[in-house]
Amino acid sequence: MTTIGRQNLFSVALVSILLTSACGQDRLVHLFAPGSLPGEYGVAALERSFRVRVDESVTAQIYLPTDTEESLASGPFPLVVFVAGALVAPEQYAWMATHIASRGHLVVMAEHFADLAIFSTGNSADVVEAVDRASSREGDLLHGLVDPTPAFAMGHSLGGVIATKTWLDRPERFSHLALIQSRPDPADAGRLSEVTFSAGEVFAIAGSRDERIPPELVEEELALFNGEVPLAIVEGQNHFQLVDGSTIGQAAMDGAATIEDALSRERLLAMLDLLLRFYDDPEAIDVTDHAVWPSGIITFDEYQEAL
Amino acid sequence: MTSALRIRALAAMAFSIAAVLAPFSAPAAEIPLPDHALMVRVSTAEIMATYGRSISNYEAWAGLAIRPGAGAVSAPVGVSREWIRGSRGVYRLSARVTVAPMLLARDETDFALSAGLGVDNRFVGERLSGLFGLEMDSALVLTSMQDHRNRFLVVAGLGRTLPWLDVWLTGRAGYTSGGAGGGSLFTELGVAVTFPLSKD
Repeated sequence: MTTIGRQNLFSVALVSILLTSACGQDRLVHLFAPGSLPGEYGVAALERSFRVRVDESVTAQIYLPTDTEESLASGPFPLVVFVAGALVAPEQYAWMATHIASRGHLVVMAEHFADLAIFSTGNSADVVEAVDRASSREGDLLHGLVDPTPAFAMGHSLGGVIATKTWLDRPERFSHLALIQSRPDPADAGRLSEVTFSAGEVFAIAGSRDERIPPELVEEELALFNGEVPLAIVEGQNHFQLVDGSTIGQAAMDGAATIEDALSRERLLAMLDLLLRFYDDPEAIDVTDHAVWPSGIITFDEYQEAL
Repeated sequence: MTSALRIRALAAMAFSIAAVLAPFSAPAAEIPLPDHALMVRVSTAEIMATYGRSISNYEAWAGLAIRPGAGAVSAPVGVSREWIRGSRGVYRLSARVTVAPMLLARDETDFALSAGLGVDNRFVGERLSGLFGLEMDSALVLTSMQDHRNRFLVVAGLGRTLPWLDVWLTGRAGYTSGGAGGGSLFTELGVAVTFPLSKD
């Protein structure tokens, strides 16, 4: 090989590496200043592609607590992984993710093929691994922001099914699970029957007007877990009130809500706040005790009596 | 990554590498492939350029591939063998083995190795050609020995052969398992152009 040949080869390699590295730019946007949300923190959103499964990539949205309008708060923050429902993009749950981040949690939402998490069941677990590596890497925007203690997995609808799989796949990384208008996959019955958990670590929330995944179905499928899973029901809430910009076609598959979207979401967030408080400090509150549940949240028995 | 998965990934790679290194004898060609060819492929997942050299019904190639999404630069090398059926070479069955060392630049710098096997059957028509095949591919990050994947794909394509180039529109779909969880569906759509540099 001539000298010129070697130089050309080096240039091609260098340009290739620069091209591929340039594609990994972080895009951080400050959404809410501290004090503008119920939590003590402001919130910034980061959209980033992570390398997963050796040479594939998954884009994820990350919601981070901030302490000024321009800077991220000092971590580490407990990790909450949220999985979006079928045919719903992660950003359609930004209202929920920003609320959770304002409470001092780092929220990760991975994207999936065709917005169907069932086609990419490993994306959340792979992104969490990549986020953990980023948190331990000097110079990374996420450096020091992720608490390595076991995380909280949540999902809405189909997202809850996949969140359960992630929780089962990575028991060392996930301790808590919240199924929001969702249920476990009966195909996971074998694994679910083997995994044990403490009271309140697995929790289900349903909507009394949800006709996509009605409370009766949720109650029935929760029996797959090897332990008592409390089921809290948001009175008057339907399925797609939790999704920003839901379509008329989606609404046609759902029941009619009896409360406005704002109240529906307020009730759900109040319940999530309780679960997050319990997650942060199990001694602080007993989420299995119905008496501590917020107003507008009822038990399955109360729901059936009201029918 | 469990030991069983690691052993499976390593076994798949070892098998592929052994297949590449195994000696073979070249029989007389029924229809010769071009002696030298340059191939450029642009797909939704990668950009690749290879130079291929053919002897009889065997072809060996080497090239450079870039996967911008994952920040990966790889140097694939491969060998393929073609069997031709029909008096005019209407059907071409091809089997290939590829090995690709990879530099991963996204997030952190890592080195990985992938190895793959592929089989496809091409129907060569007067105006259009068709392709249907299967591929399997394993990859392992060498620097950590933790991250790995296995990919199983179905490949389909339509091609047009002109006097001075071959154009193929190909789609690949399948599933990637591995990583930390359950894997994901994989799809890719690409256009490949092959320029024959000489012909016997």
